[in-house]
Amino acid sequence: MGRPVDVRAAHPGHAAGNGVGALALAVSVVAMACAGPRVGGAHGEGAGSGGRTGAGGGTSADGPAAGLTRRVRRLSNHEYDDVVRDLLGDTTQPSRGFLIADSFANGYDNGSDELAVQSDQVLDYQLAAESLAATAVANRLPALLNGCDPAASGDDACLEAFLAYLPPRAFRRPLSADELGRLRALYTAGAGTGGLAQGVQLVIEALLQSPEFLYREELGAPDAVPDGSGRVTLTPYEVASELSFMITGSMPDDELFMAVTDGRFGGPDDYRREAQRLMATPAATESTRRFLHEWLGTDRLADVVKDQNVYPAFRADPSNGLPTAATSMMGELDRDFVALVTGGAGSLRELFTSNQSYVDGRLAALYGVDAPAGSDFGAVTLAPDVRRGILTRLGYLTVHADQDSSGPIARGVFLMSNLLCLTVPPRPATVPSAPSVKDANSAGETTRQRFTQHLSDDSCRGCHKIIDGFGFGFESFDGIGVYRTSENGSPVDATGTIVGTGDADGPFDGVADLEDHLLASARFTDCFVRQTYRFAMGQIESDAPDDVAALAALAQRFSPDSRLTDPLLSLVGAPAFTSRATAGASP
Amino acid sequence: MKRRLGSGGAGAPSRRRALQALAAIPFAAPLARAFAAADSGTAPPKRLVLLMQNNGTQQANFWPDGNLSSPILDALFTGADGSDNGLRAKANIIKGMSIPFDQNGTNGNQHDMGFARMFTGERLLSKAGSPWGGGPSVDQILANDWSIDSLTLAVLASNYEPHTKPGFDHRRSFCYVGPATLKYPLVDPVRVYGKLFGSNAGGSSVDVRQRLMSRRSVLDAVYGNLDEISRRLGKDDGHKLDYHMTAIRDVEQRLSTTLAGQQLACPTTPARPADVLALDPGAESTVDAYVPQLVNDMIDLGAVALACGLTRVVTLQLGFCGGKWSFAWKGINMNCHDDVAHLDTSDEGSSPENTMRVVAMNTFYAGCVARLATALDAVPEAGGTILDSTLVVWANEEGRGDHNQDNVPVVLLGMVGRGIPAGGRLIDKGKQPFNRLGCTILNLMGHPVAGFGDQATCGSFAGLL
Repeated sequence: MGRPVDVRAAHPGHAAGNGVGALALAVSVVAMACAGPRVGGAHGEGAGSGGRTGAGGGTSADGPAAGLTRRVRRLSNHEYDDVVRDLLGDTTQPSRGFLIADSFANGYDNGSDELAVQSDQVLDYQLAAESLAATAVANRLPALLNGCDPAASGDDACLEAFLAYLPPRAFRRPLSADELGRLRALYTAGAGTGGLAQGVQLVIEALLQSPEFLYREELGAPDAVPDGSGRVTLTPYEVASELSFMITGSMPDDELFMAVTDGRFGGPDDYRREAQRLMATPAATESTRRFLHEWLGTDRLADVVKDQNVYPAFRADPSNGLPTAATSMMGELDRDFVALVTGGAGSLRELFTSNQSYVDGRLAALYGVDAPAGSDFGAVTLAPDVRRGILTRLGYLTVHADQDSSGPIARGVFLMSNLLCLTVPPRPATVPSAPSVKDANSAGETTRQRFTQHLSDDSCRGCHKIIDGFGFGFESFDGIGVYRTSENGSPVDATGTIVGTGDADGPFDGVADLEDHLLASARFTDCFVRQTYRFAMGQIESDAPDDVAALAALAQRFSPDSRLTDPLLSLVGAPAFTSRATAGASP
Repeated sequence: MKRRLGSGGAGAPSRRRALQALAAIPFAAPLARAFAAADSGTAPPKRLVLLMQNNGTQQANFWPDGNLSSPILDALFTGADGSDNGLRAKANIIKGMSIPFDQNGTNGNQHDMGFARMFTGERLLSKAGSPWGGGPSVDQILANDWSIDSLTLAVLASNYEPHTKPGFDHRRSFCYVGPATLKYPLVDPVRVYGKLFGSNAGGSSVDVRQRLMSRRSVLDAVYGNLDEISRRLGKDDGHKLDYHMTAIRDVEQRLSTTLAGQQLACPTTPARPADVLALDPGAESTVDAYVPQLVNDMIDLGAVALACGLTRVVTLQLGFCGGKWSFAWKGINMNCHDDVAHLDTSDEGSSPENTMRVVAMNTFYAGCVARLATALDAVPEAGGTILDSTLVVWANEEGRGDHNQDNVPVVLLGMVGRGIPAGGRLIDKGKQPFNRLGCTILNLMGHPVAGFGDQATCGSFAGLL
């Protein structure tokens, strides 16, 4: 007991790898053509922008991908907060004090691969559990007892009422007799010192630290026998949990839980019914909003640092309690995303062509439009040709840029990896730093001119022909997204060329034009489907038949005019959603 | 089992008195088990400290002359008052350590190869192309051997890049509990302090006892559940739960130790570190002006933890892999360390201004190591000092800031006379694989191995032992 038996056991790594199949050819074309330097920021090591690629790269040392295998998925930090809110009515968001921020192995904060619990994290959960339990018992004991009144019915009856109500919701499934027995023993220990309340409190502490609470199980029934291809079917409770977390980011609500208990959750029709219902909830809107931020990389706006001398308009003013402009930019995007999901078509086309947005005074100045009345945000119509679509929003342009300049490399790389799911290969051994905008030799040059070495140098051209082809198309917007027609005295050239994507290839002029190209590209819509799949499944898609088939089915039904959330609704019927391979089974 | 304190004449009786007085500290539950110990004749326990720096050194200004002196190393061997601090005689400097260029199917670069491999030894492991260390790191191997909880520390704030580069999450830590599974560092000195010296629980000792017993019952129940699920999982996720179970067992063990009345107290509980987060919420993430203070706090806490026997393994990471500290506190106004170091394209240096900057940054690190080593060297033990039974390793992810990984600097302090035959040496036996560092560490710490990582028979550093 104690230490893992063989700490050094070779570990093949979890199923991973970039998707093979229809997109493989395009990927390899890019990989072969782009045999040159690594990309990322200004060639030092990557400026602090860009989203998370999570994208596969080349041959993986972790062997053939096995698709989704039986696993447990630890609650991410925000899931933990949402679950304790839904389970106990606690809105204190304990995870903000946790040791480790979420990891983004799949590009999103719910990636199951990296979410483990070790050493000091146990203390995080212990302290949070003790605090949450004490608060819950102090403030909400009647609710925890599901209406049972100990004065009227006696402690024993209320214990049973409690055990019938809270533990199954905490574990997201009914408990076995053994499990209940363990909880009873804990209750007895606690009640011995402090009565019913103390006993209940101890049980809640245990619930909140139990693996059945901290991890979402995707194991199948305990006695499940793998079928001929080594797969097991998930239990209805497990499917309900998976479905709920995918759509709302939290535990199954009472209605979903009762549907499972009452036997009304047995097949794809039932799954779709519940999925549709949940998709209409505020929690689902919130989850979609978070997904969009993470997909587009704008969730990191709060951490953006800009050179104060180059971009004084972005600056914070601590003496006045004024944050950086990123706070306003985030506010605009939040409203955009919510409006997209709850209001209009909710489609990629709308996201990438709309010039309706929301600004406060600060943003209005940056956009060059009239400030709204009052101090809050107001709706605005932005310039239709220049500010069309999400890629022209201040927040997007700010987070994907350099500290002191527009950062075409960062913009190009992010677009390639997150919007087109292209793999960006690594750099060779030594590459000189790109000339800084502060460098005296760069005076009078535009950003594009500063990077000319990319296209003249053989070792640079391979990759940068592609990256810069995207990135320079953003040059009409500076490092905080402000529109410009000249830079350092020279006119801005915002033309670009899309290369290596297949159907999106060709010249374009400016971001709005680029967005039109993307919307016309199957690669682009396929990539979006891929991203939602990664989000839903908590890991990068593999080349196992289940993943490939699921993605193909989703992509086939998805177009730029579909609702963004449609792939999630379609997914609930797929085998990839409801079954898992057992370790060692052939994919 | 009693912990053996440093012996030494007049100091001993007052230490004993202090211990008795401090035994009444309410629930300041230290987090290590009692050492097998006590009477004279038993050698003091061995300890390990790992310090990891980024971006290489300035080669021409690092490697010392016949007096073991160089601009950068002089900062290591000189005390705050400008006089010699006595560390020279306890130092061994290895020249020639080399890291091969081996991405092994990942998109890692030299930073990653150095950082993720230095103390794990295995080839990089790919997870969706991202680079990870391929096995447990030496600090965790030894923590496992010794059944102790290691103290894993880091100072990670950066103006320039507050998070690890996208897709390179491994850069948070060079410590691994297992393949591609990081041991996450503590980055908040106040939290470290709380972990080491406990927070005041309040209440009578009966209440405290009750609390601890309840806690233990809860953990027992939780552990049982983990065990069940773990059995049903495949090899991949089974490991995840193993770490969880290990962590719970550690906590339980500490509880049991405390309940059994074997709690140990630190003879001198240090002052609580300043709460920089209260001054600036970004102080441990996006604002690196506090780095020097945070580094000092972490060093001081690590030294105290070792000196008090609260742990035997301390690791300190100085910045995310890739090294983006601005060093504005040294008057440097460039983007970040990495950008400056990249311009250092030859051993002799580049422009005089830039060479000076690289040297300045490296003398900062040297000063950090000096602070820690001198703190250990100030505590008497077994006729010498704690440093004599501690191996302090100052390592670097690269040799030179432009990604060159030959002559990666390694400085070993301590263990002279307890495994390392002599000190005050520059050891240059030509090119040696970096795996020898892990091999050397494990051999010195009583975990005999013939090789390390992907070099099964590389042996320890030539010329050292």
